[in-house]
Amino acid sequence: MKTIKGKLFIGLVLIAVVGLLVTACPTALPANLSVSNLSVTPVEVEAGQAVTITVTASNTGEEEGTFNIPLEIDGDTEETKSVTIAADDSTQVSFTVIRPEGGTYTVDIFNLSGSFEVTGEIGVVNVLGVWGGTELENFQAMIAPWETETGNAMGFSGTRDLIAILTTRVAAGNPPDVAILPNPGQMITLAADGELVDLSSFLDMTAINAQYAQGWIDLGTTNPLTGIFMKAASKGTVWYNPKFFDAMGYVVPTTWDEMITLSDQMVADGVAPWSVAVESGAASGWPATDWIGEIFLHESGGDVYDQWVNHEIPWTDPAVKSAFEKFGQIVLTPGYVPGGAIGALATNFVNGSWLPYTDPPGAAMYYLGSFTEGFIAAQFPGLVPGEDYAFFPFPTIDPQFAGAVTGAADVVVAFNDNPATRSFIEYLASAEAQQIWAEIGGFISVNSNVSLDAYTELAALSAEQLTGATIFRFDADDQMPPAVQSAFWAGILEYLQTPGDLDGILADIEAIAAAQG
Amino acid sequence: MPAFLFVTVFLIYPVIDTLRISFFNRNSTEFIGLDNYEYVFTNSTAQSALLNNVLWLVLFTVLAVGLGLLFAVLSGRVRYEAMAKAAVFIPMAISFVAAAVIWRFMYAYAPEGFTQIGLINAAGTGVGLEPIAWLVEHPLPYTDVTLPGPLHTNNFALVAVGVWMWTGFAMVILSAGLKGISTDILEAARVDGAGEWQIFRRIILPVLSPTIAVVATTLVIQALKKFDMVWVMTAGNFETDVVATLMFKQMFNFSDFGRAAALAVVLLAAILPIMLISIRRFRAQEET
Amino acid sequence: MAGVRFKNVTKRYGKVLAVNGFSLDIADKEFLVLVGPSGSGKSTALRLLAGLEEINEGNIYIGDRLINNVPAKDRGIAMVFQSYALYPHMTVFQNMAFGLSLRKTPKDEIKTRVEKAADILDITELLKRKPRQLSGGQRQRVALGRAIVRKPDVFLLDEPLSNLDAKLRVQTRAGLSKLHQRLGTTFVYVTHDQVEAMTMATRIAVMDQGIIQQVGKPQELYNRPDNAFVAGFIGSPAMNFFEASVTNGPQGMKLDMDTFSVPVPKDRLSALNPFLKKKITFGMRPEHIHNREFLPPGCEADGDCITASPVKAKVEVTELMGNEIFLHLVAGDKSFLARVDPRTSAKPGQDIEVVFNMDNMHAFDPETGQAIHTQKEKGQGEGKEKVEKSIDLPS
Ligand SMILES: Nc1ncnc2c1ncn2[C@@H]1O[C@H](COP(=O)(O)OP(=O)(O)O)[C@@H](O)[C@H]1O
Ligand SMILES: [Mg+2]
Repeated sequence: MKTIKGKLFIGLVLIAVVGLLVTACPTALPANLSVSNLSVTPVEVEAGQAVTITVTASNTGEEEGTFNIPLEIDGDTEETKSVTIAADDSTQVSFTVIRPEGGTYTVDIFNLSGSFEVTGEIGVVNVLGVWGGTELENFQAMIAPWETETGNAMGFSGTRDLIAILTTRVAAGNPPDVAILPNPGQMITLAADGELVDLSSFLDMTAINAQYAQGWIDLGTTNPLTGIFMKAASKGTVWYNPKFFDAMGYVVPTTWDEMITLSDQMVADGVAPWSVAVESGAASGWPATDWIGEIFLHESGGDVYDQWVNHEIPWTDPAVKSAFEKFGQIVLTPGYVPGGAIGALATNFVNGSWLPYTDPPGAAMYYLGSFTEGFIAAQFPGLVPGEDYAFFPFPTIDPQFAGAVTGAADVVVAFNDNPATRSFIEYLASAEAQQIWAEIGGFISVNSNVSLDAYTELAALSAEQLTGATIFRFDADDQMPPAVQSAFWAGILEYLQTPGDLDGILADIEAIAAAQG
Repeated sequence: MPAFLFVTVFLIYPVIDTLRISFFNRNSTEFIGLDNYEYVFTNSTAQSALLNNVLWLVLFTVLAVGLGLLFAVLSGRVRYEAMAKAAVFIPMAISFVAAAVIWRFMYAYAPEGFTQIGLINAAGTGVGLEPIAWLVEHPLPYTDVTLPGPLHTNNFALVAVGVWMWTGFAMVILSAGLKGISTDILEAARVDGAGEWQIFRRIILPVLSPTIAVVATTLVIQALKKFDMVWVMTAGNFETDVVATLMFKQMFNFSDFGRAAALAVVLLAAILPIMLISIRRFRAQEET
Repeated sequence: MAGVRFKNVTKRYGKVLAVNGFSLDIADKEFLVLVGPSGSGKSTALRLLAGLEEINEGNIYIGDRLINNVPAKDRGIAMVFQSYALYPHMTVFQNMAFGLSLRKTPKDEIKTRVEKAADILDITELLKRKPRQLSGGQRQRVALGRAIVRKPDVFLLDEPLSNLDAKLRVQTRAGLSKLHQRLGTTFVYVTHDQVEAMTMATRIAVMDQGIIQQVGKPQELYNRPDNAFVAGFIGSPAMNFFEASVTNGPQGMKLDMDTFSVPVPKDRLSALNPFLKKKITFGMRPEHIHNREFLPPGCEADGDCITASPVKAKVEVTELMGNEIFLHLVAGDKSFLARVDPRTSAKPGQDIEVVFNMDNMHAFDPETGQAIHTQKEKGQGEGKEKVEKSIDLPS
């Protein structure tokens, strides 16, 4: 004990001596810091929003000096800034602080103090969707400004099995905050079960009404508004090779009959008019059901289309049969499709899209949605969109339904009502957000404030077609109960193999549709 | 006791429940008697699936065992036995997805006049044959003859992939069996006056028969529950459905639990006796 | 019925010469035993004859027929394997009938032949059994039966007794000899056990390292081994070998083993003369070394039939066999074995005087291992009466 005390004593003496020596050193008028004017703005802020803290730092000495200015929040040093101030000068020093949690925070810089209040809380907005790869990257690019601005974050789970996962999570009481559904069917079911948040409760509805055509708002309304649409796509697109058409003197048809006449002429010219390709693994057949839907809408109109989709008319209805047969006319007319029905059945829908652009073209036209652009661009990176490849709107069958178009759009729905989710949905619905992805490409907004200039030539065509559509209907098979959709896919494959059995095939689909009750 | 509980919970209960569901309607709310079984045995899609399974059962098993035996016998005689065997066994070892990629490429089809990327069609058109959509078409290749029922080209094409994948398994097991036959008895048979074929027919085959039975049983069960291959290659389209794929579709595409359960019961009923026989054979073998 | 002739037959497995320049004539109806240590090429020689291996060089004849390229099934042979090689999925009857049925022999003839063979081998009650329901001895008989029914010209047997227990082996040995007489067929029999060879063979071929060392009747091999290998291999217990110097002393020629020496009998003098002052390998069978107290009948007096001088030796181990005693003896730095009269009472550690019956001495060139025979012995003669009398076949 004694020795420790002794050592301590010696240490203290040493310190005292050194201290004396240091203070005794003659330094005339050293740099000296004083701080004043602490300002905290705003003093009330939402979680995740930035608070700016400013202070005036002055050097009252006669020499230039560098000073460390520490910002303490609730007594802990948050950040230290180093400033160099000339003699007898002053400068503003600001700090930006984001707090994710609500509460009152005290701010101290040297002897100055203030406070600010944070309301709410930021969180991670959990989003469930089907995207992955480039699509997800683009979506994340679209979300990035929101994340920076709010300090919030998005957690995205991408799955091909969206419906199954969503159903499970909802049933388990653990839904995501937001889901981006590939069609409105599931939204209607979920809304009926009371699972969805009323978006009109927090969205600025004047802005929404101004930016979205009534049709889109109607589609998203299940009383109340539960869905915002984005990333729409037209399916009324017939892809062709404009240069080849020019060279052959072909004119883009605007009616079904013109299209058939053109097809016959092509056959006479030794050109296969159509590429049809319906292979898609376990989902084989869907490209053909898109054909049928498009034909149906143009032939029978929106009301009958809805009745068909909602199974208010049977599958054996003449309208359905006629749509099948018109499709059959394309595939089964000898010479129309390379390889005929077998060719259509055995060719993958991606590969089928390439035929108009090979040299010489393997076929002149290919019907499939606007996303086909991506397949073509990937296969033929040298081709110029709009010049080397383009689409024309699906031709009119019955003049009273001219301008009809089928398509798809993703619908954003929310399951949890919290500030972060609100802010997320608000952001997603804005033209500012959607323009980001539109500019990257592969995204057509239904927000009319998104400038057409944001798009590429082809996308602008789509955007125009969609906004100008007299009748817009969602892809028919996507809206049917899964069992009926599967039966529809399988039925169209069967029809192509055994066209003579059409009545029986439709009766089989009808039986399944009837069983869905 | 825990074993009993385990068996009850994980085996007996699901089986009984499946049986129960099979007598109920699509969402198990209403008892409908044998309607689901009527569907299984009278609906044309279901019938075609059943017949396809029969085709798998016979063709797949016979070919895989037969070729496995052939390779087992031949590989024992070539110089690079290990390499030859590895080549036959590799399909078994690679993942099914990889195999599907390979075979979709093998079978790939393009209409006449287009470049054939599929190996078989490239070869076929190379010698002047028309291209065949192997996974789609029904008529026998290069003919207009369409055989009834499961005897369709696309079914044969699928079975061929199955055989390709499972021959290695059969070969490895049978080859081990062959190695187990003492060379003395083969030499004794040679001295006794048997030729190569007679040695094979009258000595190797009978001595190997328990092994062949084991392999065949495994393959028969494989054939009965065949799913992956069909699902990935054709998804059961173009009348290539087998019971397992149809069951999957009834369950997940058509949400008809009753029919799915009935199909499962039928499948189980087909597999059960084979399992019992092989278990009994196994026991008998252990006793001696 | 046929004889067999190997002419300069060679078989190689890679670099291994399994059978090397093998020449052998086997007369019709002979019971020829190929004997030699394991790995000496006996089985290979037999398998070449059976047609289970291809010949690299030389010719094999069965009867007058060159069979180098004749398939096994057409060689008129039947073979009994060491493992018996019964077909496990066939009954005893089917096993025996298999060869006949392959030859499309009529059913009833098969039946009579199988039943007759079964009768000979006493396996009639076993005909319906499968091999795995049989004991080792029964299997062995079935294997024999399978060979018999075929009525082959030549019977090949590869160590057929080695999987049997000692007692059964002795019984079966006798049975096989009887069977040979009864069938009157050529037997070629492979064994590593010289006792089997000595007891059953009409002639023995001793093999080592793929080469035939000596061929002859059992007695010839025993009495006049051509080389040290045969001398050591035939006879049980094995011959004692000593390194000896041939010296000439006042009592005549001697074999000097440093610690003791023995006189050379007169009839060997000329043969050993070239080796005077040189080394030889001197061989003495244990049965020709006697306890001086109990000389064999007819040799009671020194110099009568024993051309020997006593050797003093110490007993290390005694093995009592009942009718005789094996003594492990040491004289100086030489150890050797003697097979002496059972009345011998010497205990380990005691000294004993033994005499070498030098009439039965063997001498070998230490470099080549070849026997140094007397003029008379080199000829084709039957050997000396006296020697033959003293043969005491090991059992
Ligand atoms: N199939 C074979 N492959 C290679 N070497 C062999 C083969 N069979 C025998 N040998 C060799 O040949 C020699 C003679 O073998 P074998 O005839 O079986 O001897 P034995 O029957 O006298 O014991 C041995 O060195 C043996 O290792
Ligand atoms: Mg051997």
